[in-house]
Amino acid sequence: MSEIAFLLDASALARIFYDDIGKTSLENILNYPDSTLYTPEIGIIETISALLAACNSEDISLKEYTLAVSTIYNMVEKRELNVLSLTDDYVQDCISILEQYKTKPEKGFNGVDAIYIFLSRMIAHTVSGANVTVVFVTSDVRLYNACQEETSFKTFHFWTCDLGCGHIEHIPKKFAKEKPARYAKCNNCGSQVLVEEAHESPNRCPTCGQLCPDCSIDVCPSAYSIDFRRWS
Amino acid sequence: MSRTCEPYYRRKQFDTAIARFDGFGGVIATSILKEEEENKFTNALQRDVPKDEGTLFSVTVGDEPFVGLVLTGSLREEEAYNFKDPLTIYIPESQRTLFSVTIGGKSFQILSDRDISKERTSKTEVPPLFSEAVVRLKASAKFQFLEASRLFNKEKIDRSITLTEFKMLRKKKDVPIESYLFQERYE
Repeated sequence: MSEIAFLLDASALARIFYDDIGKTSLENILNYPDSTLYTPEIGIIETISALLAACNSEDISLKEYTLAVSTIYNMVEKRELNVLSLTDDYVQDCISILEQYKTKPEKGFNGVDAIYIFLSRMIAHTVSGANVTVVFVTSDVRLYNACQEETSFKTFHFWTCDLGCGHIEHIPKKFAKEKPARYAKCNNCGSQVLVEEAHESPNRCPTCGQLCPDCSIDVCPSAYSIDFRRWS
Repeated sequence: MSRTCEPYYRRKQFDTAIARFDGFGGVIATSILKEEEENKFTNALQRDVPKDEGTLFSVTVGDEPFVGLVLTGSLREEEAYNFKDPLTIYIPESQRTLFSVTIGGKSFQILSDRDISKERTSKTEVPPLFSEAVVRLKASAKFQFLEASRLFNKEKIDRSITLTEFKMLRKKKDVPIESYLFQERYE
């Protein structure tokens, strides 16, 4: 069994405080014994920013925000979470990554994503030859998709589920709803005219047809469990 | 005084260690001291250094003393898993952050990857306190491990709270925290 170095982006780091789909996977990653957790400086900054945005929207109180920050502080102090800063210049490298991915419009990619990819590459490069697997953890599907081209490290989308049927590993589209076709009556002839095509939910198992119309933790039927052996 | 480690560089097992032999002394590994006593590692001696510099060790390689980055065979002899958490100390002259472990109140510094691997597999039921990844990242000097006190204003921090306690204290379980994040990233 090899050690796993998990690099969390801010979506994963911020999500350790509040429950949503993928909660179990994230908890399993946090508790996996033979592993270490990392995030770059920007991961901390983004997480704080998201927590403050939740404060501004009155989802959480300022007091609760302070407790969340304290929790991060204590995790860093106890080395449960390692916050990494790169000592060498890396702007050129990030620009190269941006040029690699941002030029593909379908990917959707931004500057922060380049930092996460570069750091993952750097960690993987540094531990290469050791018995360590680097796994980048995110729920940002655009970043996740870009990472599929990366070969030096693995990427895990922590929303990954089994749709409750267990036939597939599925990354749910959380806000995609199944919609019936919409028709309207033609003002001239009175016939029914198709206004909007039906949208089939992407959260449907192609094997058995199991459907998750509402992707929400309250009704999530997934029993997905990470098989850590794939990384070790 | 030359600081070459040439005789050891020829030995394959030292490749990784010697690769870190750059500017501040030697990087020498555990079992080497045991196996290679005849090869000039006479002993590891503690050297007094000012308190704020941490505790360094020196070792004699041939006729040349090296300071720092030495771990003795005691790593294997003692219960590896009784080690306290790895410490980081600061070496002012080289401006580098080095890695050390504490054994019975004494600090020992960097160990070879080879030895870590052995320790890690020797007792599979007990999770090792050493992380090979952490050691490698620290030894590479390409990364800085930021201290919590450098990231946040200490005065506002509740030093006792854990993640489990936070989850018990939070008012709402489900805050769409990623939505806030993605709004900032993409909108």
